[in-house]
Amino acid sequence: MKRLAIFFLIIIPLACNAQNSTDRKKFENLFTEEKPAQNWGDQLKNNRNELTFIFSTTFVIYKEVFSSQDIDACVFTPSCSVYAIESIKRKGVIVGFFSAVDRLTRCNPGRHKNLPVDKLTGKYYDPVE
Amino acid sequence: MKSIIRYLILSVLIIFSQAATQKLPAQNFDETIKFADNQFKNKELTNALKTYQRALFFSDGKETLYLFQQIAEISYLLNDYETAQKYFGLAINQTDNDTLKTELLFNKASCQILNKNYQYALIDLFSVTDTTILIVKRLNFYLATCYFGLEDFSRAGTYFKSCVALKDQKEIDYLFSKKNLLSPSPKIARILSMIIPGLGQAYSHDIKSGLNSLLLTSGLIALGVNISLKYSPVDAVFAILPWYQRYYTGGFGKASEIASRKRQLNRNRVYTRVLKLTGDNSTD
Repeated sequence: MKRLAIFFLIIIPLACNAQNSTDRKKFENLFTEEKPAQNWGDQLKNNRNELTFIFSTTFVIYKEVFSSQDIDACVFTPSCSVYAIESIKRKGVIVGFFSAVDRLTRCNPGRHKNLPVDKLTGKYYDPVE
Repeated sequence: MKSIIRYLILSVLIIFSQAATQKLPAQNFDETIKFADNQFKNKELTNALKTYQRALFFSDGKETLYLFQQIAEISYLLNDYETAQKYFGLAINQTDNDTLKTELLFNKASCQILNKNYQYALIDLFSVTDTTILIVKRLNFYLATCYFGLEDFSRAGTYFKSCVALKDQKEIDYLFSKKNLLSPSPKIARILSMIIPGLGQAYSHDIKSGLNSLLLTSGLIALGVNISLKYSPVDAVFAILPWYQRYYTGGFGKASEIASRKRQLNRNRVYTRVLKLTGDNSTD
């Protein structure tokens, strides 16, 4: 009987401590940022040629200096500048450039019925295809 | 000839279907649960969930408590906290066992907390009636987390204090000071940036962004003055004002955003430290 009592006295707190540790693990990331700040420097990597590198550098300077202080006016996600650099990188300078121009002409507050709305940003989701 | 072949095929099909039904009877309710248990053991969570749901559909009121619990647990493991809390709630209503009820209430509250529904979590936690020391300690930890999420830091601090060792209580007091949890204030950052562009960002310790905003807006003002001297003030207004408005309003919006992000970072740091302290205490 004595042994049984000692056994329970040891086991119950241990079980509860295990439970507490799982509680702590679950709540570890509860208050972390939902939308962390973007690091545009990554766009300087994976360039096909020198021309793409020039476009990437211009993009990063625009994002860091001008866009970082601008109002959030683009109706699409990813934004037009991100779309432009991604399309130039994927489709090449000429096709990518015209694809970006096409996107800019479409960027207006009118309704874009055929595009889904991104839940996180509430903007029209229009990635580079 | 055709009709004979048709009859032959039909009779063969009938014979085989009869044989198959005799040799392979349909899975009954208990076998379905056993099958689901095996899937759960083998960590085939999505398949196990579907099988438990099928069993629940045909359960006819049998084993519902177990099925609710299993469905809730798997949904929880699959990070579907909405479904998990629904089934934990159904399981709570099914059980008369107080210990199990307490555990289920904690699980449901945990789902609500992870879904950031802190008010609903508080309702569940206030239903815990068990008063043993370890349960109360766990309850205080959950309550503190809820109040922390609701930004009621004085209550959160009090409850966290009851979860840590006596020597760590002073550190909790320090961690829960205004400086750590309420600064930088997004409102102050916004107003400062309205007065002088970039000041709000500097207040939030983002000097680079502050300088950027200041140079950008002052550059636009300088350009406006230059145009008005060279041509006319009307030209300056038409050429520069839309740009100035964009970067000025964008600047104080950004200042508020940066402050809010910094404050969230500080709060996360405080919460992580408190988690460490409560952890140290529980392994004492």
